[in-house]
Order: sequence, then structure tokens, then C-alpha cells
Amino acid sequence: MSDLETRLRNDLKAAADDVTIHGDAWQQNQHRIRAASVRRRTRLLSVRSAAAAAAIAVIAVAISLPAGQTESPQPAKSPSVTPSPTSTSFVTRVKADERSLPSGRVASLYVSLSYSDDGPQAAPRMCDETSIATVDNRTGEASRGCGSPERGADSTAVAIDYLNASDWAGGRSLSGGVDERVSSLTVYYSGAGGARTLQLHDLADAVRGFGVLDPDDNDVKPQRLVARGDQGEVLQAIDLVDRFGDDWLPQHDACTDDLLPDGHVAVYPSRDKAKTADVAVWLGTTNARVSIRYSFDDVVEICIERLKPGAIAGAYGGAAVAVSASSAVQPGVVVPVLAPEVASVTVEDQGRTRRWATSAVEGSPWQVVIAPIDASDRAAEVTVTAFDEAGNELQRATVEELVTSGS
Amino acid sequence: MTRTTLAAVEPPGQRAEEGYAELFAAHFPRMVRLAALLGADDPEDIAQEAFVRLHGRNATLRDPDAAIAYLRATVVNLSRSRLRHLKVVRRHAEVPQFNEDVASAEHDVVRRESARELVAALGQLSARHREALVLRYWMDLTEWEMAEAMGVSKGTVKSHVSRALDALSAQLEGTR
Repeated sequence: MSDLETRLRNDLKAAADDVTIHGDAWQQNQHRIRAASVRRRTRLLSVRSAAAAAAIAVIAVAISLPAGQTESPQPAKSPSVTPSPTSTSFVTRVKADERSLPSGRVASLYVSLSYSDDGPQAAPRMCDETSIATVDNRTGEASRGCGSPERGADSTAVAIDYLNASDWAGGRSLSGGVDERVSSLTVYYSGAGGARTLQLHDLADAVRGFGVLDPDDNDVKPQRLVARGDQGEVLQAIDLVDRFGDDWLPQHDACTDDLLPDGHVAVYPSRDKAKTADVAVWLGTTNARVSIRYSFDDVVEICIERLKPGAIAGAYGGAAVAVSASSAVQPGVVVPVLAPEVASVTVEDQGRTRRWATSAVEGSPWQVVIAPIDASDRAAEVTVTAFDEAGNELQRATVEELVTSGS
Repeated sequence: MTRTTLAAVEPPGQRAEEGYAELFAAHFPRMVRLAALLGADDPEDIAQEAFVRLHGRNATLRDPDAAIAYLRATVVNLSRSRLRHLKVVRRHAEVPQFNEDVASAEHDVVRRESARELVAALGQLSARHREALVLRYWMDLTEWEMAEAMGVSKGTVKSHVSRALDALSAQLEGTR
């Protein structure tokens, strides 16, 4: 035997000896077997006649949580999530995310579909489990929770069929499942966090699971979730502040905070160079400030007080250039604030339609367009239409419908 | 190896359940370690899945030799599928976790370092080559048993082992 072969034997043995095996493996195995049994029965029932099926009792599954694992604390920010019931079996469990923590420990987020004993027609629930363990997996703790399908999960309007938010010892997690139409799922972060495409993991029943850990010490937080199809078309977008409440994100107020990152600035194109203005936009977590600085140093500030969860989150429409009293018509500007999934907008004014590419705003997932219009007094009637990268219309509204308030 | 496969398909009775429990106690840790050495990121999950699938095969369950062969082949297959899936998402190769916080004698430290280096090198090989080396040098399988686990012919096993040794040697040279 060669030296290499001898080394192979010794080192493989050493490596194998160091693999840790959890003490509750047998209990886990029995859970899985019972879950598989329920699923086989469910499939069988589905092909029988309804009358026959109604006569067949489904054997209940009564399984307790594995010994040594703690029940999940009630997730604070997700009303749809409840602690996992003891009658639930976990199946097709996959690791969706993993983070090294400053403490040197490793947090792992697992997602799984679970089938309870509510009967063969009951939709499976989506469970998430975050475990924090030492690198050698010797000691650790886990928190776990399960959530029901989203309202309307069977409709084509809903592609993100499950969405859970859970707390764990070092932060929060966001997890769920998407239907088979979804090709990519992107999470957009607050502040300058950018975007991350999440890995989708095959689970059962054509559901693919996802998960993202959100440690407390991360400055940027998940803000928006966008599911796209294979042509890049947006199937569904979820504003996480709208979904989980204002506490979901640390609030940065664009209308009152002085210390803001650079806003998006565009020079308003005026025919009269003496009357140009800089139009600047600052984005807060849930609001926006539009600032118009005229060439003679006068400044007008407009606050869009509450951004909405749709593709067009808000808009300012009005005057942008100071005009002399002798001017018959006061030119204006329309500034729609747009969600990150918007690729372009059209601005329709008096039968004339112009298409605009969106501009990112530094330090924010939101985007803006600064679109001049001929007359400021018609701004409210201007129609803004948002499109995704596949050219599909996401939202269409007049500025009047979008405006929340002026300054 | 003598194999008896019974044709009758009956629900596993008490004896079969006891046999399954004994099989689990005796072979679950080994199947977890096999999946780990093959590079799976969640070896326990793979071993669990293999045992659940075995449980659904009543006939195989009645013959311990056939059951163990089935478990090996299933773990190899599932690990290979898992690795294929992970290629897309994995940014750096993961290796089985080593226990760092146990005080070790100098010999132990050297041994662990050597093992770590070898497992990392194994991780750079193709799935087939890694399977060949792990089944041969850790599980001590015969060529026939390896062929069965890998789903290839006996002749192919020989060439896999030979090429895998060359590839591993080159990998280890490259890390020095």
C-alpha cells in the first residue's frame, strides 16, 4: 500500500470520527417516517372518490418535539406565525442560510414544509428553525416556528405563498416559500444594503423554500421582497414594513433628519437659464423629501410623508421653477418615488407620453424619476405608469391619486 | 455476498420494526459520516432521508445485507445530488466540521491538520472520484460493493479509484 493510501485510511478515519451526530436522531427519524406515512395516505386519498375519501379516517399524527430542543418563542413581528404544534411533522428540511456570529458561533436557518393532522385537504405549513451552535456542533440552541399559507396563496396574484418572520437569540429571520412560477426571489435591503438574490430550495408540493438571517448587528435590514418569473416579470412584491409594521426597520426620517446621505439631484431643465432649479430627492425609510433650490437661492421643501407599498410609492407634482408674474404658464415637475422592481415609467401629460428610466437614490432601495411637465397647474392630472424590466405594467395612477401631502 | 430478496410485499410487522430499529442504531452514524466525507453540507439530513426511504421498502428491509447496500447507494446518490445543487450556491468548499475546543495532544493536532488538508483536497475532486476513495479507503468496500453503491460497473470502479488517487495526489502537491 502506498503512502497516499495509508494516509487516506488514517485521515478519513480521523475526519469521520470528528463528525458529530445529534442525540435525537432516532426521534427525528420516527417523525419523518410518520410524516411520510401521512403524505402517502394523502396521495392515496386524492385519487379516490370524494364519497369514499370522506369515509376514510385519516390517522392522526401525534409527535412531540425532539428532546432537548426548545419551543420557539412567539415571533414578535409576524402575526401569521405561531409556535409549532406538537402534532406536526417536519419533512424535507433544508438549510436556507448560514451566518458566522461575532461570538464565534454559527447561526443556521432551516426551512421545511410540515403536514399536520388536520386532514388530507389541509395545506401544509411552512416552518423555520434557527439553530445557533458552536463550530463543532457540540452545544447549541434552537428556535422554531411555523406559519400558514398566505391569504390568496392559490391565486395567480400571489407567488410568495408563505412568509414568516421569526425572532432568534441573535436577531430575526425571514423565511417562506414560493410557487413554481417564480424564477428568482430578490430581497432589497434598507439603506445602502443593496439587493441579494435568495437561493430557492425544492420542498414538497411544488413549493420552493427560502430564508435569510437578519442578525441584530447588521446595519441594513430586509425591506422589500420581489418574486420574478423567467422573463424577469414581477410576479409579486411585498413591502416588509407594510407587512410587519414600522418596527420592522429602524426609522430614518427624510423630512426632519439633517444628517442624510446624498440625495438624488437633477438640474431642472428650464428654457430660461436665469430660472433653473436643482431638484433633489432624499429618501427616508418610509418617507421622502423633495427639495427645489432655485437659481436665486430660494428653497422649497416638500415632504412625501408616507410612502405606499405599491410600485409607485409616492409622488410630488407641482411647480419647480419660479416664474415672473408676467409668465402666462408656470412649468412644473413630477417626481414619482418608485419601488426597486420598477425599471421604467411613462409620464402622460395632455395626451403626450414620455418614457423615463429610473434613477437609484444613494443609501436607499427606492428610485426616482424627475420629469418636467409643461404646466404645473396640470400636475395632478398627469398619469404615471410603472413598468417592470419585462415591460409589464405594474401600476398606473394619476399624481393626484399618489400625492400624500405637500409641505 | 448472498442476497435473498423476498417477493412478498407485506406491511412491516413487529419483527421488521425491531430489525429497522437495530439497523438504525448500528448504521445511522456510519451513514452520516459517509455523507459528510462525500461533502454533503447536512449529512444527518441525507442519512435520515436514506433511512426513511429504506423504511418504505419492506422487502429490502427483511435482508440486512440488502438493506445496508441500499442505504449506502442512497446516501451516495443523495450526496451527489446535494453537491450538484450546492455548486450553484457554495462560495467556498465546506469540509466536515472538526472539534476545535477539545484540548489535544500534539499528535492529535498534527493528525487533525493532516485530516483537514486531505478532506479539503478531496473536496476539489469530482463527485465520482471522491466516492471511489471514500468507499474504498474509509468503508473498506469490495469493488463489487463499490460498484453497487456508485451505480457503475466493477471495471469502472477500478479506473475511478486509480484516477482519483492521481487527482488527489496532484491536489495535495498543489497545496504545498
